[in-house]
Amino acid sequence: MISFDYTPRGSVVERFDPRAQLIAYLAFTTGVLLVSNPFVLGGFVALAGLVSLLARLRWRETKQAWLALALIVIVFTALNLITGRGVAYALTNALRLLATFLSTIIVMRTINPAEYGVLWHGLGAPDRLAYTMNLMMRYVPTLSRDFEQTMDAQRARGLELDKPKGGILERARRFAPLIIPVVVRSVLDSTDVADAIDMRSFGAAPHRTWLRKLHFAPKDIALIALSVLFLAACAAFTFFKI
Amino acid sequence: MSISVRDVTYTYSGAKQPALKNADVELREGELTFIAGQSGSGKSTLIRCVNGLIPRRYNAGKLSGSVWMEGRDAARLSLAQISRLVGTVMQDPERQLVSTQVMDDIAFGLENIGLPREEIIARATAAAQRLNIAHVLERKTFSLSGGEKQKVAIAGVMAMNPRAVLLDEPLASLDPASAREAMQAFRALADEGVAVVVVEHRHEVVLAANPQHCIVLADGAVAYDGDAAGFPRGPSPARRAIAPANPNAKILLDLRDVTFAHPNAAPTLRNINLHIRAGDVIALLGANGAGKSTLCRHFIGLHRPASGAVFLGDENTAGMTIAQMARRVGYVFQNPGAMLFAPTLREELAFGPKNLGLPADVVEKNVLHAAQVVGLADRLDDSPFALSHGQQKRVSVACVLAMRVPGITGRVMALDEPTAGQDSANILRLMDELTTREGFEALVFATHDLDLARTYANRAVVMAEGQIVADGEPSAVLSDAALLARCRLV
Repeated sequence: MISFDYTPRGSVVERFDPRAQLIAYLAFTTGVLLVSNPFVLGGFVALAGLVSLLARLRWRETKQAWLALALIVIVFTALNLITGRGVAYALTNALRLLATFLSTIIVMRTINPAEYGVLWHGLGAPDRLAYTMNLMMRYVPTLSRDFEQTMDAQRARGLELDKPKGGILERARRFAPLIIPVVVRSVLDSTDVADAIDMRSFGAAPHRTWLRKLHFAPKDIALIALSVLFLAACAAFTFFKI
Repeated sequence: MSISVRDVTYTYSGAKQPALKNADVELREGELTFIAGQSGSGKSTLIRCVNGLIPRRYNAGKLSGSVWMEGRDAARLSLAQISRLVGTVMQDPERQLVSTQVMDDIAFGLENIGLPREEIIARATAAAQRLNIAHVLERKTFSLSGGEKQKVAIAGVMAMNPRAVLLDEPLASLDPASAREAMQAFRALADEGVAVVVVEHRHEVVLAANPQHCIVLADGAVAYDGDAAGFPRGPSPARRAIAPANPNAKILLDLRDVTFAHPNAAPTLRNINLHIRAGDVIALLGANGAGKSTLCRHFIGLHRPASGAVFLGDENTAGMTIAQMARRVGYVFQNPGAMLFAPTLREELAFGPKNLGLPADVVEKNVLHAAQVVGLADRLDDSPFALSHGQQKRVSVACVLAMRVPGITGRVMALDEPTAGQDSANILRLMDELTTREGFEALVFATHDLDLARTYANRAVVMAEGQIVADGEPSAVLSDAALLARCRLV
């Protein structure tokens, strides 16, 4: 649904240090959780929308995520309304979901997955944890390729996915042949990956070198400062009803 | 640096028999060593003993004997120390590449040993240049072809300046010309003083690179240890008695002027006209990237033509789903691991025919018959995951065989690269089972193995750059040396 398929597009957003981007993202999503005023949340959605324009996200590449998001927002809003929690509550939550999803899509599309490791390393995470983040990014496309292969293989065995019939249970049953081979393969492969990493001297030196270097520029410091201020303002707004 | 394996025996945890028995071998610097043997003969176990994964990661098994490198007992070295001396290139490069970008991947080992950045960049770039992949340094690893991925994996190992390099089936997915080039590169590496060890099923290609040292393993023991001259070459398989293709037989599957392109890419198939007739046993030949798999995927609707049409008999398949086409076309994928899911082999084989809505008694009959054809009738209550890789490959064929629908004739069976990662005994057995054509009337197998085509096919179709460039009698097509060279098949 949400793809990690990063392509550099030379936007303003990408020019920030990924550490600053991540801190801004965390501050923003925490702020979104704290605030419950629909007008303020509406402003946050507008802000996220503005950033997504600055990030040059195109409709074509994020279409599926938007459609899924629309579905989730509609379902949750309907549930909130049905359970009698009122229009204001439903609206607040819909806006929260929107702002969170929007900012998540931006982060996934603007941080180069090759920089996830050094990003966490730069934030003080130990090498092993930081490299695990890198590996996750590395194996998302492999996993999705495995899933496609399995889908093709089971279709070729007559599993009807193109014109599904039957009730929800019947449809759910169809997932076992799709999920099990992928899970079995990833478990088997994870041993190979661990072997591969060990055989390439992972953990050999007390301090590994990170080929990629991150540089804080004044604009990154400014972004982090703004993020802290933003969070403080949200907290003040919520806790002291300013 | 030479590596001495002294009287090593290893039994995996839970196994009754040792996978490697009293192995005593020398892997010498400056030599190209070739290790051969059937699947399960202990080749991978020997590799793991040398690169230290046994006993460091496989620590639950039972190990005796010792491995010496640089005059030291390897038992005293850490895995990180061994990995600086011995580089390993694994069978599937997809699993070995740990970074999203090529440069980061080649640099990974160098980063781990804490070299300064400038030196990392210099060494990684030099390794890439040496393997002719400097032009992909800025690409994503995921976007590379299989051959490029393998070169990146090798470059990552070479950048560490190892004294020995172990290559586990490095030629498995390469076409003949690429395999020859890869072997030349390994030969050159040995000539520079590195101990190069190649584990392979493709004997002839490796022997053509003049290995100084050949080792054959059988049932975990060293069955031959000597020079290439004495290497026990098996006889070439005899041509099977297969009736010649009949150009007037009924057309079962018909590709009419098919063109195909992936989104935003140049066409991978252009103006393909291929009539598959009853009685055909077609070897679909071509180099890596020639379009063989893309073509096969059109047989069952996994790809749809951008222009042109695919007919099953006289029915256009444009409106059919893949599941509907699966009644008339069987498709065996390269990797059986992509499809196995059921708790028992019986249920695995029943999955296809049940999907087609066949009645229970027919399903049962089909399952038993399919299991018998591939020689696994006594394993019906076992888990498909407990079978060997070669057996799993036969299961994937049986799954398709079991989908025979009473009353439907003229089924076509297509196999994508049946030889990849299989030893010769397994390949011959599988092909012998298939060419009986039990339950289907035409067989197409995509391969770059000319011997397989000579042994089994009654029709050879050669592809290059998305087009069919030859289609005819195998004896005629395969004796056209200029054509084969142009298509990188020799």
